Amino acid sequence: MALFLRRIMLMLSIAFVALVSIATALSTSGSKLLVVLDPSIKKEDYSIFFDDLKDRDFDLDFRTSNDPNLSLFSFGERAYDQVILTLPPTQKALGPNLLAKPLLEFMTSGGNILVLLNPAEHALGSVREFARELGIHLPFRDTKLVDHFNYDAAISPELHDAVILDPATDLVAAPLLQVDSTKKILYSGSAFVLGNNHLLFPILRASDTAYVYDPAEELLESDAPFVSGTQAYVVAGIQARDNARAVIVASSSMLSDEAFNAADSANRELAAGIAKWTFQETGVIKLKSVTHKLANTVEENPQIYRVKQDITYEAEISEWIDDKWVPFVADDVQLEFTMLDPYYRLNLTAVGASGDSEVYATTFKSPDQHGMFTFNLNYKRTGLSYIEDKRTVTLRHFGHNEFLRSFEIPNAYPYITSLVVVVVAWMLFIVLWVFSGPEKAPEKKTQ
Amino acid sequence: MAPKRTTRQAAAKAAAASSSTSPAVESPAVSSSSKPPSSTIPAVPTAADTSAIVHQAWKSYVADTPRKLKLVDTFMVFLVAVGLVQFVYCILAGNYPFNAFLSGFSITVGQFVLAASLRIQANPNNSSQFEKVTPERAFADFIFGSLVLHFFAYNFIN
Repeated sequence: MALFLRRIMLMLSIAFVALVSIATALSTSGSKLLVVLDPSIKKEDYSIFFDDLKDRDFDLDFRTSNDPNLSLFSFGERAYDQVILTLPPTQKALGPNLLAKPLLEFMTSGGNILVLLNPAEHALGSVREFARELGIHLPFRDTKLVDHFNYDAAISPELHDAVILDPATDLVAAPLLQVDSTKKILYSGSAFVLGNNHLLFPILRASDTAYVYDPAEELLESDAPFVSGTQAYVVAGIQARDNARAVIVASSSMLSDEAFNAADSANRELAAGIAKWTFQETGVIKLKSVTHKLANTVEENPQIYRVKQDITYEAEISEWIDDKWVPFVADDVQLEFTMLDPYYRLNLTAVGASGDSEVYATTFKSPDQHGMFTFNLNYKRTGLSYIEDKRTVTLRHFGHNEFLRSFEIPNAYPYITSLVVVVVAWMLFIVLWVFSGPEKAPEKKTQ
Repeated sequence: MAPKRTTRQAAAKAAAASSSTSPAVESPAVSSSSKPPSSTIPAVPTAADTSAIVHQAWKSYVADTPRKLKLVDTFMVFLVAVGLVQFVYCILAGNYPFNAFLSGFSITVGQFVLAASLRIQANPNNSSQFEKVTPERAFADFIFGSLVLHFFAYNFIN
């Protein structure tokens, strides 16, 4: 009966997964995309970026930030899967539905957020608070990132605030984004500082010679810039513990058609890479299954093992590439076998693909310590979905009949032999004693 | 048997009695010193003296000990040898099946103790102390005790 129910559950879940995967063709987390657009920002200026998103099967829902019907949740559930937030320069606030708290709740329930700061103004309360919650300190209003060595002379010959970034050196999270490093990135806007949130990681930073200053002040007085050099970041991402992602781009101008169409510009690739990562199209891995068992046996996932037994642990990991799951190959997946402390920390070896996943396996001898142990697979790498799996099993000690018998241990043969020899000698002794006869008994009697 | 008893009784009654015809097994030093009463006793026994004493003791042991007691002595020497071999092996090769070592070693020790008990009780010289224990009874006790010992050792070795 239980088996039958389990089978039905399995079929239902397979059907559900199939349904979901039909609904989300390219993103693993859903295609409903809310774009909160300020009236001052013309949609047409970003048409390439939005068209690229539409081509990747996203349902774009354009709203203005002061739309009274706009809500990230409907009936307590997430109304959207992804949000792109562009900041209005004109308004004082984003409205009650886009305060920092609903944005964080949206992330907590698994939604992804891409924040595009406005190049003209950064000082909006709710987004500033949201960024601070993530560990990003936004610059003061009206500040600019300038670089007197790498700038676009055609656009800003005087102020040098149209900065040119080099993907080869400034793209920190290069493996995630796949940007052609021979091209260049055009940027104009400000830059922010990263706090010490360990979930946060930089994606694109300013070059060594760049700094952030306030154009309202005299140039000579800005001897203490807000941030300078490679400490100034332009794009940074965070992946929360529930794998929800957020990326803050310091200037939306980087994603504009103008920047995309500029000669030798890598901005389009960069924007696509950022959007793909944020909306869970790349860098998504999942744990398909975990099995542990006694080596060379069939029964899977038993509740109890004995000390000093060979245990085989297998985990299957898949990666989402384009529109399907494929085997995820890495050489740094590790397994811990812990009871309070790890007794083992073992490298799992990729032993080959099984369907759409890669099988990682290892075999180890359970420690000579009974108690409650946990198979702990904890794979957290920057830019990849977190994988964490814990299976608790009991490790019992030897049963009284499970020790080796002495005659199975070659080392015990001398002891066994001597036992036999003593018994045989004893028998011989008895026989000799009995038949030796009363030697001097007659003398004794006569005395 | 008779001269030995005489010696023993004499030794028990008076240590200074020098009329014994043959030296006592248990006290060769006393008898050897009493044998030449006129000669002066050397302060330090020389090697020749020691070997002479040992030789004398061995000769009297061979001559005066009943055959059954010699049999027991042989058995005891054998047990000591087996026990020593096991002990040396345990030191060299490790005590991994420790129960096996304990079992094998303790059966030699236990058998040795039982054999020693048998020797004491079956020794005619001690019959005055064991008036109710005949040598046959001692032998039966020995067999019973040995069987119990063997039973335990066999159980414990595995």
